Amino acid sequence: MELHKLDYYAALEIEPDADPETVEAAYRFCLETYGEDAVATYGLMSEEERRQAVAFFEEARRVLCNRDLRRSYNRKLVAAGRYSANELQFDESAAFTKVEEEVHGGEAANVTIFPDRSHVPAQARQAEATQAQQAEPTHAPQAERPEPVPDTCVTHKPIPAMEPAVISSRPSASLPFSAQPVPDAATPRPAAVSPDAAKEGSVTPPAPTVRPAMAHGSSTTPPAQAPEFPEEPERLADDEIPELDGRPIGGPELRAVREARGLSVEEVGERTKISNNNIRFLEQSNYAFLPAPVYVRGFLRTYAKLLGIDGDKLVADYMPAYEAARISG
Amino acid sequence: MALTAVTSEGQRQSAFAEFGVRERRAEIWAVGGGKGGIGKSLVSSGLALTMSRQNKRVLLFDADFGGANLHTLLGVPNPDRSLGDFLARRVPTLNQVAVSGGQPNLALISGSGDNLDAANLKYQQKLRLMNRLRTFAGDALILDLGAGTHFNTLDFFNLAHVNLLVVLPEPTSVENGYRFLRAAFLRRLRHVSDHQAFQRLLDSAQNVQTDGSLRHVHSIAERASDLDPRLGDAVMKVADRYRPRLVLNQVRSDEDLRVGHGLRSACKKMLGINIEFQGALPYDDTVWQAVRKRTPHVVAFPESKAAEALAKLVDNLYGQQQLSMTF
Repeated sequence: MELHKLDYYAALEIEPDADPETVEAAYRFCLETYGEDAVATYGLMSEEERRQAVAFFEEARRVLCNRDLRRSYNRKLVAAGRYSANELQFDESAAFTKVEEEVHGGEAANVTIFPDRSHVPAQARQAEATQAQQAEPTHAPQAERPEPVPDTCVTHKPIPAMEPAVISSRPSASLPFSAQPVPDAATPRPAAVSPDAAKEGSVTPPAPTVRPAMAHGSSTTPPAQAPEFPEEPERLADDEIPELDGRPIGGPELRAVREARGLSVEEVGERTKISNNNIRFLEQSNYAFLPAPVYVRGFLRTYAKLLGIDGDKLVADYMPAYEAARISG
Repeated sequence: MALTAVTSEGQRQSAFAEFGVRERRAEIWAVGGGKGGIGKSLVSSGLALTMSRQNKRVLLFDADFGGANLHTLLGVPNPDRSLGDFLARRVPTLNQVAVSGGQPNLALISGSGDNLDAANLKYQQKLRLMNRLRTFAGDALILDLGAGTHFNTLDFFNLAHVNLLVVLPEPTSVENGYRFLRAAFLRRLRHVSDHQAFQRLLDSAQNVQTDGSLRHVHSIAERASDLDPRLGDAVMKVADRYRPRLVLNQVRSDEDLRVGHGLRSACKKMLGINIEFQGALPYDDTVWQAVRKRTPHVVAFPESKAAEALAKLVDNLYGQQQLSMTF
């Protein structure tokens, strides 16, 4: 299932300035194409995937048809570098009212918009409910005022529902390839930015796997050595290495393992066909200089194989910080 | 390459099938779709007739080896010379097995008289045939493929410059259409590398149906770059260039038409394959009337909806136009 990697505009195949009417029509087309009993995708998707797709499109419609939600969502897309602010301008005088009422109608309205949440893991639903409760008091008054950004609005609503469901399960496999830019006529955006960026952008509370420290130090001029685990010794003893005690493996650990194996960057490059620069960038957690996630994932697996460490674990440990850096950088 | 010896025979038959002129190569179009009975032969003969009436020199090749019957749709007698003669080297050139398609500018090569099947076309025969087909020097060579996803069928599909995928707005045809498209795409990926692990990866990609793991091009590319980063890159390059054209057949309503747009949308989002929706052919009773009378439909009913839609399709294919969707 690749839908969740698209931003809402790309998912609905509409222009970023589409008015609510167009959003509605696009949404209906998507339901017709990906929903239950859809002819166009017959034999292509499982029932579970259809449910997820429908929930995703519903969420896209809900956000894009609501002036405030959309404004706040757009800001996140811009922050993620997916679009420029100009591209995301839309006619704010258009008829957004109807859906606003639904949203402001409170929980009851939500239930009708999101009838089936069964695919969301119980814990995610619970977390969401708690969040909603917390957000509710501030939410109502805020909704009266037109201007302020109801960020809470976004947080407590089911936006994160799909993503946590995906993110929490298997980090390495559930964000597969996120960054390979999907060639997309609807969103001719910088190829260097991962579609995931947009997705992450919509998750207001950072995904649990993202280490804030990493997200910081990673932008344009990253430090040569991200102090990810300052308490760790620089050089690990050989016998400790393969397991690394189950600790997360980042750039410094990679280097430590390599040095413990007595390998130079050049030797690694020769044996893995990864360029020396990319090996150094990997080890320095120099995320900004690394290529798209698909390549990085491949590098990590190849490198892990050479070093004799668990490739899945390495990918799972390494990618979140790297991807977070791509978003903030 | 020197095939001039047989041109006189070609002319006698008004089958101008000229092969071997290096400077000028025809564009090759293949018409496939997996399922039987979805109108592949009608689409390919319809295209061929439409184009030949526009003064383009067209060779129609019946690549439905087990069930060739284009001659019937064209209203010409069962050819006395057939593809089998070429394959068995009873005649040295393809020119000698080309017959008139019943219209000026239209030639036909068919294997209707042969005990031939997609499954028993030998590798060397296939290569020789493909190499000769590539040298056709008219304006267009149209390959009418048989049903199923036999690799020989897929190879002829992929031989073409323009790959037409015919689908009906029905679940059975849609399902087979996806299967065919994926199979053809994976078959093309086979040429990327003979790396053993990569070939095994394609094997397992071939086996997934609704399990999403290797369905999307991105997942395949990702796994390929695990093997070698350059492989992942190559997979994405192939995917980027692979642009089959969708022809939705027997369209009866706007709802049917939206299935075509849905197919385009889903191919991209779910498979990562960009197809272009370039033709919608209306359901048209005159088509069947013509088939029953064994007259070529476009000739018998040039004003019919289907004939007009075919002309539009030819324009779209040449002009790279897609059907646009209006909500």
